[in-house]
Amino acid sequence: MIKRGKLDSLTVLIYVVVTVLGLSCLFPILNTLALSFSSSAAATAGKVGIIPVDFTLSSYQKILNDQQLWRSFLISMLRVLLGTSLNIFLVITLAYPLSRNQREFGAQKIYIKFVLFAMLFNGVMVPTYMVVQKLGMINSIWSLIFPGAVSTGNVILMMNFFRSVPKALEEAAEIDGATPFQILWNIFIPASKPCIATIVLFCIVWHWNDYFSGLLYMTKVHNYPLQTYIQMIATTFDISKITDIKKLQEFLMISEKTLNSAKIVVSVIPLLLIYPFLQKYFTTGLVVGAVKE
Amino acid sequence: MKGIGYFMSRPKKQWYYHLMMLPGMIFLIIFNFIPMFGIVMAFQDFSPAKGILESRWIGLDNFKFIFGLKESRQIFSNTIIISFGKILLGILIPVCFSLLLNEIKAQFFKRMVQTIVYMPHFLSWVVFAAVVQGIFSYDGPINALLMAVGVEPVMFLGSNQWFRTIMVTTDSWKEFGYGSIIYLAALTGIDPGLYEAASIDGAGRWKRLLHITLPGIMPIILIMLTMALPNILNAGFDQIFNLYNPLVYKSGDILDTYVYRVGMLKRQYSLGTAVGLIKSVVGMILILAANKLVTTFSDRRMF
Amino acid sequence: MSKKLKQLFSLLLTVIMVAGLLGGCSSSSDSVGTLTEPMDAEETSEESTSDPWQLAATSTYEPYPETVTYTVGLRVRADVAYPEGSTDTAEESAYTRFLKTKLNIQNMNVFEAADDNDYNQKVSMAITSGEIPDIMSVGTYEEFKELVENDMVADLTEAYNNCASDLMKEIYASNDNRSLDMATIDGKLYAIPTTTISNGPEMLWLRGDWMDKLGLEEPKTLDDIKNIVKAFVEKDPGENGAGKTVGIPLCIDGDTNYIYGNYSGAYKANNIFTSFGAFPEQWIEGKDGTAVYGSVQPEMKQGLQVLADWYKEGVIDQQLAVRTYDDIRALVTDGKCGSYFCGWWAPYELAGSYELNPDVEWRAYILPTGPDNKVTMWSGNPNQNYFVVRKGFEHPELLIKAKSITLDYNQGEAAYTDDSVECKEYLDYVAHGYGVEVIGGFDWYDAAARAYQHISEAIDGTRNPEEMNAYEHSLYESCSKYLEAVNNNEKPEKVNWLDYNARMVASKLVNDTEVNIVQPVFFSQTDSMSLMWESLKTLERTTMLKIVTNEISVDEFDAFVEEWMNAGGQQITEEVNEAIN
Repeated sequence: MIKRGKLDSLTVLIYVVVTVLGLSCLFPILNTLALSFSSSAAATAGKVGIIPVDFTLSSYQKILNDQQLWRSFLISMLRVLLGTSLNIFLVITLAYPLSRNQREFGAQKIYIKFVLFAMLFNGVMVPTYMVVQKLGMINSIWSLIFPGAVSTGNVILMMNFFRSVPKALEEAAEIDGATPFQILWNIFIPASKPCIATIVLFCIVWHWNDYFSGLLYMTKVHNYPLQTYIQMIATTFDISKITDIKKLQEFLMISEKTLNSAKIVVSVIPLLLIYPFLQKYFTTGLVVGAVKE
Repeated sequence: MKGIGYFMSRPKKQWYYHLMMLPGMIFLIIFNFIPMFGIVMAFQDFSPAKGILESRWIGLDNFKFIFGLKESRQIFSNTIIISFGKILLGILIPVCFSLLLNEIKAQFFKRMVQTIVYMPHFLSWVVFAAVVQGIFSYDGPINALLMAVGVEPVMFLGSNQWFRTIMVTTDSWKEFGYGSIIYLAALTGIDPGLYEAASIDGAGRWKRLLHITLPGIMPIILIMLTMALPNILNAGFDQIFNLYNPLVYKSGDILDTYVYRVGMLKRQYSLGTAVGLIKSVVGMILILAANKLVTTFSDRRMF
Repeated sequence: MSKKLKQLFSLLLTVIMVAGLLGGCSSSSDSVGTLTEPMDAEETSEESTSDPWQLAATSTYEPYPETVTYTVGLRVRADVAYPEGSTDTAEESAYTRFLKTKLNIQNMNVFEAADDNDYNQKVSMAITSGEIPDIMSVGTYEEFKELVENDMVADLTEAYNNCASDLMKEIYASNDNRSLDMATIDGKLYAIPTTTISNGPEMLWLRGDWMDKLGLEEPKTLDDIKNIVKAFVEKDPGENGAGKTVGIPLCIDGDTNYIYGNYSGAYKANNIFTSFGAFPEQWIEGKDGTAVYGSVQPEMKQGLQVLADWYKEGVIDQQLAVRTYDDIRALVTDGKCGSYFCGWWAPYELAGSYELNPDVEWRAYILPTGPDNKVTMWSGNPNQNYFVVRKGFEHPELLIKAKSITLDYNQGEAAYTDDSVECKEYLDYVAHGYGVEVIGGFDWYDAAARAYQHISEAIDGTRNPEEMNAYEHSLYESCSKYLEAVNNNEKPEKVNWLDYNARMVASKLVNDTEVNIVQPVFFSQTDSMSLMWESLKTLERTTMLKIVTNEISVDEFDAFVEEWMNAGGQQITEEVNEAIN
């Protein structure tokens, strides 16, 4: 058993190092948070550290005070839901056969070359756009999901995790007469939960953060997913075009610095909310989560 | 009772595997392989008005341009040095961090730290660069520290001596938390029985680390390393673009920033495609070499 | 009416029109208030009235007999707002209703883009897939040229001659028709360009309260500037602590900022170069009449010498290499910097400094002058973008008609005499920044100077405040509020402080100071430039920066010029000369 309760110097050192690393990451986060709540003048003058100066919600009002935001939020949610589901389905169905050895699956050698090739030589933007357009998917949610449906890197990762599942488990099931589908479902998937959770997280983050697909495939702001929409909110408008005093005041209250910070805060909150649900799969203690014999 | 699967012949099982591969392969063919024909743009002076079929063919001119520049040598070496550093630290720090975290028993503390270090990944470089500039500025904390111990202050981000180091370290700082997730996942897969057996044998922390933990996550470390290698020509556009200036072009101008500046004059789809092709070919060579190395020196198969 | 007949008609009409114009008998009939009447009837002869389509196609204000729907690619800001409770969209708003009433045209947006990059991307994709909208704008001359060369956009010469309003022609004429010249290829007009407004000369902005505190005289010469800034840095009038006040900042952040170029931008030293007759980053006419590149002319050396000396003495910000734009704004806002170069619009850049310290006083000087005691400036690219019409679109004149109407209501005074519901709503949208204009207008080259004249005359009581366009009017009100607050010994609102300082103080200076204006001769790109230019630019920028920061001596300039020429500069110079001849 691992010793418990005793604090040797090494343990203390570990805690200290981990705490320092944690604090080092806390600083930029707090700084961003503080900037997002600070006034434009204070932020511009570089007076903001980790506590807001001249507290204001102007930047948030600019981002949140809008119907479109919620529409974009829903589009993003739908995209994450459908996109991640499809990603995971394809990652697993590709990774499992690929994890078989030569004897079990002769064509593995050819398939894996295809997948690697696809990973290294990504499709070029212009022709990818043409394909999506020819399929009539411009302005449809599928244009955000299908082109990136196969995440090749994650397939390779999953494949390697599958290979580390003990052979004995599989052989026992084979003797019971399970089909490859049953073996995958009953043995490999439960045994790879931490890895699947990790890949789910990667896919969610990717779908949530990718703003370029939205820009490319959606021809109207109305259809933009959240990140694309938020990225497009800017402070740099032409001063000579503003005749409304209210607009000008808003312009003066918000600087690029405060707005950029608020954009990050707004867009990262959903990712923080789902995090604990996935985190439990990869930060559990040593005993739980391991393969049961 | 023995089910049908037991009696299934190997060829029949293989049909199951083919069937499983089918949906993924369809997506790959439509959205990856068909658009790959666009690579021909690398050999054209592509003009949107003419399209891929009609654009002018210029052979290897795009490549001659990229390799023939006065700055080519410098740009490629900057790119490779910076990204090599990032690949190295990008694996080393997350692995060490996840090993350290693994030693911590207090669940709440562990999760809290883990959540905090996960977050900087989501700060865009536009925002994070301002933090980096603040820290390394002439009157920033690092220089204050230097002056306190009697060293002359340094203009870090204007210094060719320091620029690459700062790029590599700040990138690792921002990304290590997110990068450690995969190793934490791998750590949970290690059979606890092994640790118990080792404890009984009286193995200490180091022994357990060297003989159980590290070998347990080594396959993942290797695969992450291999998959990072094709990125050797991607040194991180967003970061460098937000932090460099003409004084550090000598040490910090990378392929992507250079091509971006060229592309600003004229939207050069062709040049971009040519650069992409170079990256892909280099990546392929590296990944094949890595695979060869791993299979030669261990009994593992990477792909 | 058959197609042939139509063509014949339009030909006939053109002949009559042109004859009319040449004869000088075309009446300037664009008087306000009677816009709904067919203004051009008298110009276009009587036969034309027989066919309403023909009439609409050849006159400025005549609406189409049936609604014409045109497709368009539009910039729609992500956070575009509409009046409370309205269900308007970019396809159905006060702007579209206005155009529909006036001309019977309706837009259908095939794509909407939130910013310039987004727009350019979508234009490229539209071009690639061969489906460009009937009307769109392209941002650069190169794109515009490519469309023309590939025969994708319509020749607008005839439509312009038939339908452009006098006001439109007048506005183009305010910059000597340079805008139209750039949109004309082989004698044919292919676009309605959006003009650039002149920003006037760059000025040196100094903290007046600091000057008074230190008892410093107004600067007149280069040495005066040096001494004032040196006093700011050394005597610390802002009480920042020793060594915390910085000299003149020069911004080199990103690829769009540099110590020179882009006249009238913020934190540049263009005037120092022009005072010696150097025009960095501009293609200008050299002494022998051929086009030369300003950055490699010997006059540059003197300017560089001044900056290098100033850097050595601390008059230039010592950390210029690593300062970002934000950093510099922070210095100015926070009172750590009391001197910098910027155009008349600087107060908008200074918003924070006034908010943090209402006692701050900025004074502007148009300096340094050249041998003739005048500051020399150069003018910028005459065009911001190019509106083009798809080749094959049935109503190419629609673009010109819509632009003419828009100009009448924004740059002209039509809005004051039109009391229709649509006009009211339209103005309401303009004033509040609601929605997006489908086919926007453009402005006089000297719009800033005109605004100053109108506002100052209104303040002096020599002009009726109604006799200016809506935007100028809102500025007039803001400036009046500032003066009112000052008279009552109250603290003026930040917005009013800004408007007054920019529109009355700085603009007055621009208006009252005579400057030399140099016209660059080339704004486009040659073939070799598209690949070689970046390499040359990198060489230029690193060398100049090293000279200014004293890393290398000014004498290295000659070696740089030679290297520049050999690395392709010579060839590009020849190409530029070919292109303009």
